Amino acid sequence: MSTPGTDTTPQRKPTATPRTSLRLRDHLKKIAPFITLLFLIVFFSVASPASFLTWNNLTNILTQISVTGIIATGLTFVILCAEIDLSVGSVANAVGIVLAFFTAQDASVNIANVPLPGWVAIVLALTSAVIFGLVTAFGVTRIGIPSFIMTLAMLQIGAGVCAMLVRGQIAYNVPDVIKVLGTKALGPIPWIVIVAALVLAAGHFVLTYTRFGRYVYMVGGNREAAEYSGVNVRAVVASVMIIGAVCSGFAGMLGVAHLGSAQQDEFVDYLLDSIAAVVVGGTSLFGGQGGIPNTIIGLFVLGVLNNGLDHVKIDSFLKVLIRGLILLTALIINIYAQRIRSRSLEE
Amino acid sequence: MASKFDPRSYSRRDFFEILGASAGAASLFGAFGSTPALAAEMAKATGRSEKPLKAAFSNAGLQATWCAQGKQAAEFWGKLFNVEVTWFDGALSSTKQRAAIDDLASQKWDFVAIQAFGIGTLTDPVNKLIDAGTPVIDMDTLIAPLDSINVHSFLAPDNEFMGSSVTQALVEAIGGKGKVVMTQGALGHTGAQGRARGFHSVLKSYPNIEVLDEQPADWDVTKVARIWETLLTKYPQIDAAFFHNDDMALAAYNVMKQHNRTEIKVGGVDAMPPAVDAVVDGRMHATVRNPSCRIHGGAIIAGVSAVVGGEKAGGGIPKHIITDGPVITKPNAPGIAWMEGHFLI
Repeated sequence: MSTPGTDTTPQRKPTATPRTSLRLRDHLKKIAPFITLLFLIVFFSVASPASFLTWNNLTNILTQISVTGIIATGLTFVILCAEIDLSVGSVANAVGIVLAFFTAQDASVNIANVPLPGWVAIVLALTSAVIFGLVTAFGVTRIGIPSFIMTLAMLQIGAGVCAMLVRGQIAYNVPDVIKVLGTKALGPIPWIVIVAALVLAAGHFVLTYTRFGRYVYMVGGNREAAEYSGVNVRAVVASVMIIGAVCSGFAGMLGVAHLGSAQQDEFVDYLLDSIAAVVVGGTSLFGGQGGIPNTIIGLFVLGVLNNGLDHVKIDSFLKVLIRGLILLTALIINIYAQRIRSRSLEE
Repeated sequence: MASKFDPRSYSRRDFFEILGASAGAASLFGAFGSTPALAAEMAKATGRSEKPLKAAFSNAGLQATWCAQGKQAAEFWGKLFNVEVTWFDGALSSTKQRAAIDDLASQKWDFVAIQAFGIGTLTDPVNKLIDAGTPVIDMDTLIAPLDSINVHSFLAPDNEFMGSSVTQALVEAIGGKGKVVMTQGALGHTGAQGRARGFHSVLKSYPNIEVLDEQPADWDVTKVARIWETLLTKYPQIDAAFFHNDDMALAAYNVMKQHNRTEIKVGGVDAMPPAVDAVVDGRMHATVRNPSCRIHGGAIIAGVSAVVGGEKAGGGIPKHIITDGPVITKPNAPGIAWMEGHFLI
């Protein structure tokens, strides 16, 4: 043991890391996707100033991420709980088709549908979304099927429901209120953007300001600890699976209105897009970390990237590669930011 | 297997570059200020635009060889007619194509040509373009039912005709009796529905032909292989098979070969170069040309005629142009291959 006066080795002064620097590192994981987003905006603004930086185009981007945004809200709950839902696109498709199935169609549409009043069709469609969620929740929490496998089966079931209801045909009509939400605008802002913003805001409120939201983080962060703390883990996991299905179903209803038709295999891409939005935004696939603000940034990263590439002149075949490389870069930045943050916390 | 018919034929390119250069000379004269009237006259004679036109194209997805060939054709004919073609890939996805067309509609174009991946999914942005006065040419698949959207013209083959003509060729090859299989594309695809109708319309007249199976393989060659493994095990006699496209037909042929069942007469649709090769060397009995080059090249000419010649839909150009291609069997296969190589069909 060294005593003052006898120890001649130079004492290493404790590094006085400025508070702001610590805070910056702490927030690095949140900032990293934002930096990627800023980079993309600046890049596309310089590359294509005439068409990218316009109000019309901003509306385009917002509209394009709206349906994904609603699905991603539910998926954020699921992923925060360290679960996954691979059926979101399929459920969205099936619920959209259920809605169209119960709506009067033109004579040229060759589907044996059951026309009902608009509000009944909406209620039935939402009920079907809840049923999808309940079945998934039952499989995951009661039977004990891993969510990856259970939702893979639900993906097939959703696709089967779509095929059975439309039998290869296309339906065009949905109830008026859904059509307004999917295609019209309130002033300069499309309704679908407003609805997506409200859903994201509601998701953020629940996750941040309610006991249930804290349980979601606890279950995702450390399931055993949550269980020992008296949290009903099964109920929380079941709830997030149902929330995921309802968000997907609602998105499917708006998506059908927005796209103008309901048909099989229409929403296949929403699965990967919504998972990508959640993860690129910085929410951990292992649960417990992240949230709706991350998802929003992830949505914008994907939206700006996809939209921006349509404004610059590059080979169509190259675009696919560039999209992948930029996403990979964003993920690498996220991982390094996470490491720097972890190191700063250890210090 | 690599195609014997390379579309990048240098002799063809040379020939058309000379043709293009003669038209380009018209613009050049104008640029030097010597005889702008002459330049205009020359451009008019070739139907080529004096000033470069900007066109946006989108088809179902460049992953599909038919669509990739269409892109080459559009760019080739675009160069000849002084049209700068910008491509918006549909990526075989309704949602991705919708986003691309939304982006396309927020920019300025002289004309636009679209093959929709999903009917009815592009109506809003296309109407926006049409309302802004941009001629929109619909290619191959309906953007929306023709009475509900005012496209400049719709260039498409008759899928029912394609299905019936190849089925007819197969039926004749097996002497009007026997056991046949139809492997369908995706059931929701209107093209597949038309081809299936064509198949059934022919078989109605042949009571001695039994249809063993009509499963859809969703254009997926892996699924085709799986289905055909089962069919070949289950049925000791299959005389002919009709596939809704050539990729599926060729995938199934490989399975037949592994089972030593190459006596089955195989028919497909599209007549892409590998399938034409297969007809020439006898692996396939027949295919029918779904003329990608004619449709995409035709869209360029329709667009230029609308912008330069002031052609109006329903007046100068019919609202619906049927672009059927011929059935391809051994005798006409080399000629079709040559025309495809030069983006003529």
